[in-house]
Amino acid sequence: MPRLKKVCKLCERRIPKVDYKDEHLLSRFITDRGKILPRRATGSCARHQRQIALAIKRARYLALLPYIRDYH
Amino acid sequence: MNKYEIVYIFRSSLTSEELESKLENFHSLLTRDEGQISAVEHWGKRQLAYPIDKERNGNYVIAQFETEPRSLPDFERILKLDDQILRYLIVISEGELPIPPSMRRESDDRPGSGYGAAPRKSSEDAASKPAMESEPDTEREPDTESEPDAASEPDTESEPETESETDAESEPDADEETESESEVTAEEPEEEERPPTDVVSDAEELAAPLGEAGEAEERSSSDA
Repeated sequence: MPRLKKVCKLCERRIPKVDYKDEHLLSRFITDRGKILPRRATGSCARHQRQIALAIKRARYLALLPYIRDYH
Repeated sequence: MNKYEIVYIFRSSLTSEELESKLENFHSLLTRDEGQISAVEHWGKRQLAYPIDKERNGNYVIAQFETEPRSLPDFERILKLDDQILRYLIVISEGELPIPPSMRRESDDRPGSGYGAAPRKSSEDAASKPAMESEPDTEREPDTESEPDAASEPDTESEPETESETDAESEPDADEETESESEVTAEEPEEEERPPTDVVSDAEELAAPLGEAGEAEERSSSDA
């Protein structure tokens, strides 16, 4: 099967700026352990990936997202 | 004059009167020389993703304001001295930020606090929300199938979320059976299934150092 070109989800949804307060949106770009997913996994474009990374880091600081989930 | 946005996390033990008086206090520092508070939003009490200073819950308040940069150091000094503030974050405001949908749903649970947003009904939502909000429902569906972990975890926090999401999905599906939908479903399974699994195994090895590094970095950036 030919590999289809990935399209940035945020571009599709026309989100101009990623909001660090929208933890529901951001939670789609982290693993279940809380790591930021790489672009190769999400298909994000470079601009949005930068925004996502910054927003996730801010959200983590504000305890909206975990730094590590279920780490003991 | 620059526009900023601040998120405060107060201790959840703080009463609403104490909180209001504190906010008034802080904001008076900003408005002293021609600053302006443009919006204050109360998210109310919500669970923290990890305990801060032994607290599991925090009272979130977000404010947007405009002030001279030179008034910020004084302002931040006062915030740091207040031991009822678990954490705060000041960032340059990126314009009028739409209220995240997840927040709107939470404010529905607590009628007293929050935005007083309209009750979340899927049909109304699709109509009233901007384009970026109503569109994604078509693509959200294949996502939850192929990526169950990432999608389902945040849902455990609030139950209504899962309900409203499935509602929203089923509605537009009926009238929006377009090419774009079939395209998305065709492409999703191949691309989304693999990466999360190998990243997860990484996560276990690197979990500890990653977290420390990330935390340190954020601390320093908020001090700046």
